Amino acid sequence: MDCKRNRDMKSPPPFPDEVLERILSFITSRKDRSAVSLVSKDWYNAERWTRTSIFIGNCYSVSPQIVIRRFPKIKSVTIKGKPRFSDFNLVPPNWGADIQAWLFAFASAYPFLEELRLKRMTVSDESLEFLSLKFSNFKALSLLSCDGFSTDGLAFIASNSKNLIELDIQENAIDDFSGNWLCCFPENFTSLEILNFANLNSDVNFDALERLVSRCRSLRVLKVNKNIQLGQLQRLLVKAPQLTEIGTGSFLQELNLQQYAELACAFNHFKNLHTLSGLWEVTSVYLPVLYPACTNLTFLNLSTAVLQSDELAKVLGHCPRLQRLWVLDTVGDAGLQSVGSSCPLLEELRVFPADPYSQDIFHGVTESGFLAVSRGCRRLHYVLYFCRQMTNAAVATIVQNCPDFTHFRLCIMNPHQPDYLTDKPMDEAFGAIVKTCTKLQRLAVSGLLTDMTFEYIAKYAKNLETLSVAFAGSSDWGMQCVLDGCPKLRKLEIRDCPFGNAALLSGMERYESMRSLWMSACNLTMNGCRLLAQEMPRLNVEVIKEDESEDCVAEKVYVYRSVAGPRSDAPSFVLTL
Amino acid sequence: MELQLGLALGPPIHNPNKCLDLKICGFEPNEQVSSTPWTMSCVGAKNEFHVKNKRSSIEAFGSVVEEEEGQKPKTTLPLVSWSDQPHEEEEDNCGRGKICKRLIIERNQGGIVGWPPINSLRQKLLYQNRHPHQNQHGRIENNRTGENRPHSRSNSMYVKVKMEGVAIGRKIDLKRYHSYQTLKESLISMFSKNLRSELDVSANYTLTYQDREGDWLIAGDVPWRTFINSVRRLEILNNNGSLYRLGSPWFII
Repeated sequence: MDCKRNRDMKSPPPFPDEVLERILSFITSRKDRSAVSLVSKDWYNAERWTRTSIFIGNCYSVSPQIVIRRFPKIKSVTIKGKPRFSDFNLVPPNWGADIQAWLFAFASAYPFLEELRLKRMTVSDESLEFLSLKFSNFKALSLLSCDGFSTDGLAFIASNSKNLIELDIQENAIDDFSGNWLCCFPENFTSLEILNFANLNSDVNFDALERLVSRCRSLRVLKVNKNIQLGQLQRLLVKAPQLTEIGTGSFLQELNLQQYAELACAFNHFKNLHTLSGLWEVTSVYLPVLYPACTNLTFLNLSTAVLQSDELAKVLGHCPRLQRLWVLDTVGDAGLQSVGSSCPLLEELRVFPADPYSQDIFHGVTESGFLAVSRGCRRLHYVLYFCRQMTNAAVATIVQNCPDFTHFRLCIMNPHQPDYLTDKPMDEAFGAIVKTCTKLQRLAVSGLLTDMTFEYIAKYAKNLETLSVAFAGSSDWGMQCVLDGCPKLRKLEIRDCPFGNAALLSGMERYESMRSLWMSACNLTMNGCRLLAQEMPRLNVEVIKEDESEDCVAEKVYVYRSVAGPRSDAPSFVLTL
Repeated sequence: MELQLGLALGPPIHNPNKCLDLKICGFEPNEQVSSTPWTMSCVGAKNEFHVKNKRSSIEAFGSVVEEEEGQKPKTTLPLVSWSDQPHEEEEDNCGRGKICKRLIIERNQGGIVGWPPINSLRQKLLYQNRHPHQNQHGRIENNRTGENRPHSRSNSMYVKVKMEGVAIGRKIDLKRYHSYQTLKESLISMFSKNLRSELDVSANYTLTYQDREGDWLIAGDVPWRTFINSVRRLEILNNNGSLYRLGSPWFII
């Protein structure tokens, strides 16, 4: 503020712009930069000239033109598109979030763009071709949960991006025509450091892959898809002993003794491995080859490996330094007990259901597994836990053991399921969480919940930023509480809850300080949404109408703040009010 | 408790007024949503299972159960309730540990859209894990080539739809639907010009499909997911005698 006062008094600023810019160029945190830009006009300008990396949490909150006008020197762009519930088929196809308009703008404004990281965006093959041709210095492409492209698009990237360092293709819904895209990397191309094609389905040309791995001496991350067999994996590993992250292919191939020994030997060399994933179709016979490579492992992703409890226990015995673990619930409570006993440094646990659609409660994990982990892993702060039964008492004990939770995502898979021992709602469980875990940033609730849960959240969860609610609550009051009581709330996503227009409208003033609100299968009507849109012109209030349904019901509502005004590319089923 | 539900294309016989029920419009703080199985504008039709609180109608594969305050719920269909708990509770009792009434068709492979919240990639992985080398008919299948499941990787799944007596067939993308109800509504809309009378669709027409083994079956007998994995073609047949040539019993509840 000194700057401003000085200017008002017509004296020169304390130091020249160049110095300020130099200083600000060291600031990398988004939040810090945001704060800096608010200090004064000089600082705003210095900040915008020195920002090189931009994060856009909702692609429709701002337009490409506004971005390029404000930030002239961007090298790295991260953009998120569709609402998160699109991961669960709640958003119809062709909803939007197409990257092309952005790429057009960037081509003229940021011809030296180096990195593009997209999540839940639609990316066409044409866009990938455009990207590969227009940005000669392009280095890193990361696509997570995107759709709209095919392996043809990847071929363009491989062929044309001569300086590519990172190609990370994760969990995308794409058309997989063939693995030939891998052959498109030129023979003189050696810069690749990160290659992740684990979720593609087709066979790649193994010779091309082997040659690529051999010549890219800086390759540190290699995650192959499940068509790569064990024998092939071994050949890749011996060519790249410098890898720090490995995603294996299928672990099913039958090996003879010599092949087994060679594979074990290959893994033996990886003393610096910190991330391991893949292991599709793994059988206990081959697990031991991994053990020598696990000494320094910090992240083990077994979420695609069907393991039993004893198999997991053996693996974990070799992973003393593990910080992040993803498993399938086939490991059971017994497997989780070994997590508690073998991994004292564990900070993150995700347990995915192997058979989510079965009502059989004898599969999977229960509250005892979670309890066991909490007893042994006191540093645990991130959990995603799918289970079929839970009790209030267990959760209360868990958070006593681990009070530092920042992310607590509990999914009791049967909607409206009460505490199975007391038959009461799970309100007290979430009450305990928010009371004890003062650092809580993200919460996903489940089970039978009344408005009490939301009263607790409103009263205690003062650092909460993201809340996911499904099949919960008794009345509008629940949602009203949360909107009123959680000052840091940025993302609220709700489905199948009895919240209506009154709840929606009670948060009118709030939504401008949030990124977005999603409500589907609640009790909203078109009139309620129209009223919100009328009162709050800086919000985009969108209703997704999937066919000629009843005029007055708003089945899926997406509300978000935007400086770009209503969408110009909305498809016919998205009504902007 | 599993039930064979007849997928009548029309409203349940016991409640004819419901089919013509008109929407409630106008802004009210706690608006009721009245959804019927018939009107194409059904709210609940989009999801296989539409959960609402006790004030609103719950739709389930052609039946309507309505709970209004002070009224006893009228059900003609015994539907699977959640965890075998007593299910005639008022919402106010939730606080005392009893669950509210929620109806569901089948949890196994026919449940709620997008629940549990697992992304589609993981769902595919789970399916492949459960059936690594075998499909449900017991034949060995190499799922790596994916030829037997052409829709497993792509975003659309077009199948031909023919209506008996109509010269021109159509195509429909089955990936856009999550339940028989929404599929049938779309088909009704698609062939609306050819239907003798929209109100009597269930009485006059039956939706059949050809599975991957070449057999023609009546749509609706198997869970949605099973149907999606085996359907190759659809045909809408007239009820005048054509049904009997299929030789399958037709359950109507």
